[in-house]
Amino acid sequence: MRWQKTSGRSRASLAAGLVTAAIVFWMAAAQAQQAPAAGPFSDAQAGAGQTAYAQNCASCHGNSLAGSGEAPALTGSGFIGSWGRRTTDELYNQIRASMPPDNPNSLGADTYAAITAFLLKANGSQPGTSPLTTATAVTIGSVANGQMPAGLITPGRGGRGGRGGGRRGVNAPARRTGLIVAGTAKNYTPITDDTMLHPPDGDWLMHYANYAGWSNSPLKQITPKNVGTLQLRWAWPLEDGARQQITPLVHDGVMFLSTNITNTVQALDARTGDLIWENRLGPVGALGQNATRTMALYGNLLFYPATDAKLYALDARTGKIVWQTILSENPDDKLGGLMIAHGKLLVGLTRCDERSGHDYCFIAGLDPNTGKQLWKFVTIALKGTPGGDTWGDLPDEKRSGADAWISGTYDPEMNLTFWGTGQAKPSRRDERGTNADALYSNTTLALDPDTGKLKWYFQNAPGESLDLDEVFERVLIDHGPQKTVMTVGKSGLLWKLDRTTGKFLDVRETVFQNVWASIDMKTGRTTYRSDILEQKPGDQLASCPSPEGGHNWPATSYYPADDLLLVPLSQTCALFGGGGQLFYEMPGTDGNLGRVSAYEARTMRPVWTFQQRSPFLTGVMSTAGGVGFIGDFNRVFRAFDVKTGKRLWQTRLPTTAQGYPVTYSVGGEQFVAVPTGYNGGSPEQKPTVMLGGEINRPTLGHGVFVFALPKTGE
Amino acid sequence: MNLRVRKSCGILNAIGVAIALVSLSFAADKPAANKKYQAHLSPMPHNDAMHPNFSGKGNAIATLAGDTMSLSGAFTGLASPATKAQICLSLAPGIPGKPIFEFQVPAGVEGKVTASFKLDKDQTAALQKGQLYIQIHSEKAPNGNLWGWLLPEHDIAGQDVPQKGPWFLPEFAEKTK
Repeated sequence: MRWQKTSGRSRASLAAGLVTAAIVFWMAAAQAQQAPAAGPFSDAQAGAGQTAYAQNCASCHGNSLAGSGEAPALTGSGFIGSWGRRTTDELYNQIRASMPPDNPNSLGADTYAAITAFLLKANGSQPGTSPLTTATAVTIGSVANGQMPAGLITPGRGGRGGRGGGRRGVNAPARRTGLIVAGTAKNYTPITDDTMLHPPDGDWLMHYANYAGWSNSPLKQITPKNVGTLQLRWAWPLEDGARQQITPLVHDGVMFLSTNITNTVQALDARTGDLIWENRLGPVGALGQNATRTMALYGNLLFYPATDAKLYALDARTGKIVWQTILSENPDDKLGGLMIAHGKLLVGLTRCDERSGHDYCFIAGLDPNTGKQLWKFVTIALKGTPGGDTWGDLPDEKRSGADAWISGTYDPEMNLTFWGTGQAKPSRRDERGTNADALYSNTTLALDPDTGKLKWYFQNAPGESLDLDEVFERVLIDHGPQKTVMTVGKSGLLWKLDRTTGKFLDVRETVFQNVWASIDMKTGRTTYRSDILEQKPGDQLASCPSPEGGHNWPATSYYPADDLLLVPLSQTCALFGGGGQLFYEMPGTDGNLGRVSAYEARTMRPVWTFQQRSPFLTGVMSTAGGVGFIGDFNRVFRAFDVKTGKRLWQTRLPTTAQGYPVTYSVGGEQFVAVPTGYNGGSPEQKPTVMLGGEINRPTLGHGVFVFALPKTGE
Repeated sequence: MNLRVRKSCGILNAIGVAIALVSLSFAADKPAANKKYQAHLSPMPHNDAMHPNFSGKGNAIATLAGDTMSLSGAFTGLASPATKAQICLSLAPGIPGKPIFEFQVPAGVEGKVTASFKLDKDQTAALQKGQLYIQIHSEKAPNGNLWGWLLPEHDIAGQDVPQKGPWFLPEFAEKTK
């Protein structure tokens, strides 16, 4: 042994040296881990940045910087994995160039520098003596470790940056709340279960027009032959700001609209555009930037999901509040899908992304007359429950996601409601801490609307890792005795399942995808590319489609006369992770970011397609008259022939056509309504990176625009 | 334009680059029966902060005759002069790969290029599988400004000319039963 050749003194000296070195190394390592070197910013600057963050950023990235939806976490291992090897000036420039999403580079250099300083502090960096400047270029990983100092953030409802702290809330003028315009909708008849099962031809009673999720109307006054003469009949402005992606609902000649920047609900005469009543429920402000996509009608009630996770029941005739209830005490949780099924009010919870003390996302059944919660189906399988072993060893408190942010559909014969869920959170497996399937994320759920009992499930994307939700509309279509549920997810796969059992029947790629290396056509099981499976923190993973989604919240329409699914699609790719998301055009698309494709539902056969540079930002709406409607990012609202895709008519709107077009009739006259809005979430924000300077849209112009054929004699 | 073609072994950083409009057309100096491939050149992956340096677009056509791939095309709209171009090999369309050939391009913000390459068996197979792409670098996007995968010649559906199905859609996933 070598040691035996060494003198005792030398051995002692060497040992002492090793021990000393080990201690020094350990201390240095501990210091590096626990107390990074002083950061290139001052404490006062970080404090100012914290205030600016609360006013401008918390509404999307969360009070605790945990991220939500497509807004990434700004603290923790994910942030350091993405930014640790990059420099402070890169972070500053990225924030300045892209934030806030609806008005980048609008806050001033000092504010952006302060926010950057706050993010450094929130990731464990110690303040120094000099403020950060735009020229400061320090490697972030050398001063920050991703560990937020205790006490930096005040948690809880209404805390800094939580409700009441949104950017719009600060800047928006104070407004009176309450029923500020009183009136009564005349001749309004209560909506019964039978009304819901057989909606009047002239109504648009629910999010997708009918329980089956068809976004199709039996009206046929407007046809391919006369649609070219459509004229603007009336328009109604809605307050700008926040995420306006609404579905106008229409019953008995009354149109119901909402504006989520102020949480205002209005009833208008659907023929003339005259205001009947207006209730400003509040709160005012972006408040989490969660989109309001639909309300719901039942009996004499109108249900509105406010942006503070409060659910209201208003008297649809007068706008007066009948009841209100809070679905979640968590300041970052929001209300997602909303619908009536078998006399129950079903609501989904979304943005349940907090990693400590959070609610899990769920779908709940409520008594529509009282708001009393009857049941709750938690969309995260916890330990000891069925599916609880599909998260590996991840403890319950770290299981998150599976947001229910899109409304379901309903089969009255089976008495089953069909919902999709979003991906597990954080989106990437390496940040999530498990490669396991993570039920019930990205899953089709069949639930009993009376009890919330799970009848069956099919996980469309097990262990999803690229922010590719499979949450979107479940369209119910029958072919003879075969009852199917069809859906398209962000990865662009068009799924067909047997809705009696959940058995996989078929799948088809609707846009180019390179994330799924294989699909088992017997079971529908998808398997990722190997580099996605073997991902490590900081890896940039190529993803076609990007998190914009091959398909997103703009809903598919089903045209039953020709058995056609009319699917709005998006075509972008991204490098995901390792410093954020970098976007590029999808190969094979010739730079066309938007596409609409028709598939025969029975065979999944592609029938026709058209595409264009501008992404589409509304759902497709089709009519028995053979006309389809869709609107886009570039303010164009068009009509097309559902049999061929040929464009028949178009008009230009003040800003992006965004939300869900509807059609209805009053007094024997068919109308078409389309909402506009600016902040459309992923399908609007992601392509904006590539369209900067090419397509310029006003940030104002939210509203609803209503068209009809010329009146006789005009 | 006579281009010098040589093998390149450097690792391509496929992430940041500038945008430009490219239009490459492949020198179809072989019989019409030879197989053609087309590429739409577009900005490489970027974010808002990188966007100003990543402009441009273009198109290219490649013809494979025997073991020779001839290409021609053009680019335009770069934010800074082009510096070089590469043919890269990737796992699949949309996934950054590594360069296998390098060639010269005009040092401008727009220009035409032609080049030809001898492909080995694996490279030929890669071309046929849509695994080769063109990448053009520029001064402000030194790691790559534009790229575009060489895909089998196909029709492009436009907004005013709906295309009847089935239409071109590269398939990546293996369907197993």
